[in-house]
Amino acid sequence: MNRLIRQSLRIIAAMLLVLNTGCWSSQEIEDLSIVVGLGLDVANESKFERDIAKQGGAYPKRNVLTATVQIVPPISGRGQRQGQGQGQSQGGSSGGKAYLNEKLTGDSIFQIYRQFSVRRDRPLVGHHLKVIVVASDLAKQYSLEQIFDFILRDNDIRPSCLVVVSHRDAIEALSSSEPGEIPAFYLTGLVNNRYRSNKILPPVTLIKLDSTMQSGTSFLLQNVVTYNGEHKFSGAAIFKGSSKKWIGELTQFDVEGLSWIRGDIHGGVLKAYAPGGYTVTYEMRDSSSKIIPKVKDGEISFHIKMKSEGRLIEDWSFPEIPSTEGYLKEMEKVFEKQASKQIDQVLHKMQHVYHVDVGGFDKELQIKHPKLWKKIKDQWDDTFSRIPITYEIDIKITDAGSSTD
Amino acid sequence: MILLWSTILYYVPKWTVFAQAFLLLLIPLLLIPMFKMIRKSLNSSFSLKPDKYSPPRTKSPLEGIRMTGQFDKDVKVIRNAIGNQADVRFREIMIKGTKSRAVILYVEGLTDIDLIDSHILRPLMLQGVQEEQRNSFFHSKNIMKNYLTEQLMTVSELQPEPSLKKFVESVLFGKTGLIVEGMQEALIIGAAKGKSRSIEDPISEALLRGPRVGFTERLGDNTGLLRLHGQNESLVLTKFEVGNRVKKDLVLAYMRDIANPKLVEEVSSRIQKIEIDDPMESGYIEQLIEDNVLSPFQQVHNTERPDRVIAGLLEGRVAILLDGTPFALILPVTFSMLLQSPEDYYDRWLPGTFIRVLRFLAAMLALLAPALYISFISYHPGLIPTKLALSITETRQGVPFPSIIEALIMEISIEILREAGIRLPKPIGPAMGIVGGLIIGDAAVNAGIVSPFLVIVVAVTAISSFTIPVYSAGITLRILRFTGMFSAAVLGLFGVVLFFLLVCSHLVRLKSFGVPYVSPMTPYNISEWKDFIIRAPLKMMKKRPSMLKPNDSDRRN
Repeated sequence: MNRLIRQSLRIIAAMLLVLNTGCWSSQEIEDLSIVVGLGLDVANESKFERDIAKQGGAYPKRNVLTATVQIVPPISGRGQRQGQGQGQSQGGSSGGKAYLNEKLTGDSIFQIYRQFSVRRDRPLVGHHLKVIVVASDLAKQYSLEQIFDFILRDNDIRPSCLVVVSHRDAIEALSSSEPGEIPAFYLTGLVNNRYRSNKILPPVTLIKLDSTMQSGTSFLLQNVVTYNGEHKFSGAAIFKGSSKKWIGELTQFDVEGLSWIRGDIHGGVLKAYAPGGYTVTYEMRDSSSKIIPKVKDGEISFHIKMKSEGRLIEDWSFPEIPSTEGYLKEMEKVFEKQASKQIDQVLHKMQHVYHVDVGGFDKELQIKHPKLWKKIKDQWDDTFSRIPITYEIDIKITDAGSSTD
Repeated sequence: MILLWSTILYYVPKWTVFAQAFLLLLIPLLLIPMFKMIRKSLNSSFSLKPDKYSPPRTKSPLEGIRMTGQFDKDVKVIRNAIGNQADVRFREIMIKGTKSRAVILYVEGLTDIDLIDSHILRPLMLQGVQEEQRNSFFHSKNIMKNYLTEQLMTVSELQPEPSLKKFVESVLFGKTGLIVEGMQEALIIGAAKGKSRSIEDPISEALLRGPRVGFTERLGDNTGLLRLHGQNESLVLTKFEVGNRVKKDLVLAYMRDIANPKLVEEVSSRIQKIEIDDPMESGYIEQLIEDNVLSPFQQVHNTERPDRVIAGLLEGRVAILLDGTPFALILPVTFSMLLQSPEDYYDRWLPGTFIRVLRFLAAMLALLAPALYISFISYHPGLIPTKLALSITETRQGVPFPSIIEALIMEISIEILREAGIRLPKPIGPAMGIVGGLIIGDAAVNAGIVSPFLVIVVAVTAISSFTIPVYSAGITLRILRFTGMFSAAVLGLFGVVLFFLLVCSHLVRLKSFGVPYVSPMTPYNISEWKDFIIRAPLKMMKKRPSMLKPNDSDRRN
């Protein structure tokens, strides 16, 4: 019996060895602040910070940027929530908002992140970060490489996080006047609508941004415009490949043109005016494009072949013109002309306004003529602006919808 | 040269790394002898060695005494030996036509009174000995016996017994004893006829499809059920007697030309080594002959279903039936058997496969679901889909406990509910389930002790554990589930992985009567996977499982 007691003591001692260290990295999920959105703005200290600084609560820093974190769900009225019983999901308790935006100013994003720990009891976790909004003003001053350095190094933040640019302040893009709406989810959700509109750029995630920045080419980021807590995806922000700084914007119309060149339309609308002055609308269902680089005696030129299939979905002719084959052929020409307009405009902007190639011409050249590419790749954006580009577009109306006449 | 050495030294880890490596080596090396010691002390406290038990202290006063033939003396000795037993009856008669007295001994309630009346008393008292035979009785004692057994008594079970001790034992066991004046042997007539219940649908293993037949408490009925299953010459039923004080019959059943003789030999040798006063139930036998006492997994399969026993025998397994219990034992057992139900074979193969896969999934859930919940909530919020994470955060706002405590509260109360549900009488059981499950669950959520999400997890876990067709295997998973929860609480998902590996490594090492426990998996045998997670069409399963090393491996024979 004595031996048995000794043995069980030994086992207990061994168990204690494990259990005493126990749970050292355990952190219950409700004790964490789940960050779903991050906004980066030009420094603009909040009233709170200015007041705190007056009380001596400042630390040595330069005011470079203001980081806004969007925390869900907002836990402010704990006791209140208890009283309410269930029914939590209806937008929390603080003024119908389902989220909490917290902003702090500083010159190191990581330091700002940790600064939140002296402000909130629940530490931030970045696993669920869905969207990073960069204000165009900040991106004008600082290279994206500088701004995103911490974010790309951090191993909590997922590489699948979406990156967008806001025309105005990022905090505006992360605010919402709609009760119960979480702007970060809203912005990521918009990207999924690409099958309905070709005004939306293919989503740029952190990992894509990282690789694009390292390849040195110019690139586009989705632009968000805001007014009074409402948002819209509109156009794109252009970033110069050499500096990774914001240099300008493409409009929605330009983005549509670009989608023709890139040939990645999953769905969208092309509206034109028929010779009779009435509106006709074409719904594309499918499109493809082929960029053919041509090199003749060292002179580079591009030819783009674009094809699209879709249906005539709206026709304001009155009295209505029957959708005969001849009429559809006529309409195809009208739509091709309209598409050409879009393409012309975006090509003009790329080559003559911003002098950047964001249409994927570089890649084609690199694949077809790698030797030539090596020679010119350092001043590609300049070279590109002088290259003649021709194109042909072939729109095919397959049907006129379920209309019977 | 210096550069070389400095480069090499740069890659030599610090002493802490070596210390850790040393500990990693030392701990398992210490664990092995520790478990050996525990196992040894467990075994030595209940030795299986035949020379170490102490035989019953008091000797029977009848030891070695034989019948003398002197009627009064014999009866007196027997009366003294039986003592003051209220239920033993002595009926003295005179055999008609002779002057011989006789006494009939029987135990009230155990003996067939009709048999005594019509086949013993009537011929002895009414018919008696004929005139012409009477004289020859005086020449030899044996003639009397022969006359009684051959011409007078119209019973099939009749056995002369010269030893008084055995005679008394038989009478106490319910047989009828007859002592005739002048005879040097007593007669034991008939068999015990205790009360037994009729054959019913087995409660613990109900099936939708399949025979509605379960074993009963009588060994004779049970072996009869096995014989009744179908005409079969190779079924062997070997009888053993177990128990030192209370003797019980035990039957070892196997198929003569299928079962591996080594297995039969091993099982019978282990049965013969059993030393216990009274093996109350087959659970006693199971625990006394199993390989690994410390394992949470059962190494002997218990069942109430004769069809299951026959299926086991046909696979080359061996069955043990004990008198007094409806639970037969099948051995050796493999892990896959615990998740299989006879219904898998009675249904067509697609539904059978689907249900079996479902059961494997349920077993995983029953084992790991709360552990995963704890590790996700406490360690890996990033692994939960964002919107789910949000709703969990919201629902867990008021919960004052860490997830391990929360899960323990619910799991333990579910286990208590389950235990209480078994004990309660049938009409109250379901009502208690409603009170426990619905009201306590809902109230606990409303009171803010647990989160609603956990209630789902616990409910799914509990339901999953009930899908396991072998009840005792379900309990094993329940016990392990708590270990899993603790390892999740200590180390998160990493702990769960370690726990699972630990269980796996134990299972791989475990053997049941020489057969590896997780058999078709390791040792790996792809052709036997036909009857493991999936259940292949019957026409495809032509071989008996090779892990049992059957004599005849062709299932079609």
